[in-house]
Amino acid sequence: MTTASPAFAIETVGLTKRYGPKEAVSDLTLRIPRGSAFGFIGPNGAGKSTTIKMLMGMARPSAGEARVLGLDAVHESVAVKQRVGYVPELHFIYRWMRVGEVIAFCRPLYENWNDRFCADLLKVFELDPQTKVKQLSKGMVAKLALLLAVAHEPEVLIFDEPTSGLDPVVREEFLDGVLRTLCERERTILFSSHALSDVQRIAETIGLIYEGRLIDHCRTEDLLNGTKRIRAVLRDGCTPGPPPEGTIWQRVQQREWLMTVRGYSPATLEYLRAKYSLDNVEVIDLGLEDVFKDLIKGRKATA
Amino acid sequence: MKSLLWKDYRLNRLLLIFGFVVCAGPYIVAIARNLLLEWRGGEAWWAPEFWVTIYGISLVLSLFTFAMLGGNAVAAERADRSAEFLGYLPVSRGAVLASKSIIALGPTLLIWAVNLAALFIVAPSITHVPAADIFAKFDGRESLGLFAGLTVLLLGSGWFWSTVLTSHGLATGMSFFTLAAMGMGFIGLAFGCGLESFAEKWSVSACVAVGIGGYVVGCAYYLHRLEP
Repeated sequence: MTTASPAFAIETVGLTKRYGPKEAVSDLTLRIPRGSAFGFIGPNGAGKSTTIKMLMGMARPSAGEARVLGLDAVHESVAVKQRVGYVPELHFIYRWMRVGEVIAFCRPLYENWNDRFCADLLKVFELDPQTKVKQLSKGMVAKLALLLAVAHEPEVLIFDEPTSGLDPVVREEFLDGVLRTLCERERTILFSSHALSDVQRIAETIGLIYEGRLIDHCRTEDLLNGTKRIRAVLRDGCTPGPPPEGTIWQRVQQREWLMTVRGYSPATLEYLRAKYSLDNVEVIDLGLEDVFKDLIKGRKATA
Repeated sequence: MKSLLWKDYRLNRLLLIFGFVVCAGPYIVAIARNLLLEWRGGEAWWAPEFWVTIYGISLVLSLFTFAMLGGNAVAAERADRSAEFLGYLPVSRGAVLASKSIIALGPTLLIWAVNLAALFIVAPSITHVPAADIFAKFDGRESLGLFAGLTVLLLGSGWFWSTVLTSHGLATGMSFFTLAAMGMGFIGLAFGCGLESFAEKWSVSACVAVGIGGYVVGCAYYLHRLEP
């Protein structure tokens, strides 16, 4: 049965990967529309890389299916790879090749390799075709990987921790490169990273995976606008009780009650004021990193 | 495909040089020694036995090349994890195997061609002894059969181990272990069970069968698995 829809660049239905008794990815259903930038976040070992490997046809799903641009990621993986650019966390480009040789090796494998674009990127990234890969710095290898991922003008770009281990300057240059390629034409991007400020900068929608399960999937803007930290100071003698609806994490320290609320609205404050005797209440905006941390801490606490 | 062939050639370049040296080296050294002897006024030894000896040395040394060609095939790229890079390029596994097979089988056939040419073309023209007589003189049928069996066994089992292991050194070692295990098995059959003629008759066929089986099973395993 085909569940693919041309509207979705990436679609997984009930995708599961087991390693022995452990489920690395559990029943993951995810739909990423064409032309959108999706941030895939989660703690270490949550199943992000395993999901990406299954999308790239490099790991066989135990159950469910993964489709990229309507193509089966397992059985049509060569066709998928023709249309997808992939930048992994660790780069294992042949170290004995020169930059020019890597390009010459990859070029004939792609149907849509764009020589002019490739030459432009070589200049922009200041990559010398005569330099051997083993002589390149980590940042330069990352740039070479980005060049190889985009020079065939893919419709989908998949990044798996691409900026991991890069210094801030190179990371900035790399992200500029990503954004440049994103702006040049309508491309779908799946960006997985622990650098949540990078994800926040690129992604329009966010998917949070935890222990192999997708626990949240929403627009980045909605997540950030609708998630607030409330700092309430309780009056003497007042004890905290049930938090407002949508509370994903809370902490009480003496009279200070901190809580992070998903789906925050003025009614949240009204609830607190009506139910508790408060000296002071404050609403704090959060970045993606704080929201992510609170979501995970809350999950761990309830588990 | 050209791109893959170039990459596999470059990956195995040192091994191919090694293969050339151990194949042609004995001939070059022995012929140079004879020419030097003649130049100094001595008498060189060009008899058929000379050629048979050099052929034997060359093929015995080349057995290491065959095992390494098989053992390197897939595992070498796993060892440095460049197989992961290859894994996300749009190349079919069949094309990858075809390229690796050409790089492993091509030099093997070339090494055999050099040795057979030395034995059946060069030696008769220099010694003026017909090839058939040379062949008969060193019990050629048995010797050729044994070397062919060992070649197929080492190459095929090296290939198999290469597809399942992540270390090319270990894969090469395992191909010699397979040879040793089979050798001990046949020695056991011959001297332990008194099946000497059975062992003699079937040992080469068993080597060929295990070698071809290893290659086929290795290919099937590599084609089935998705992981690099």
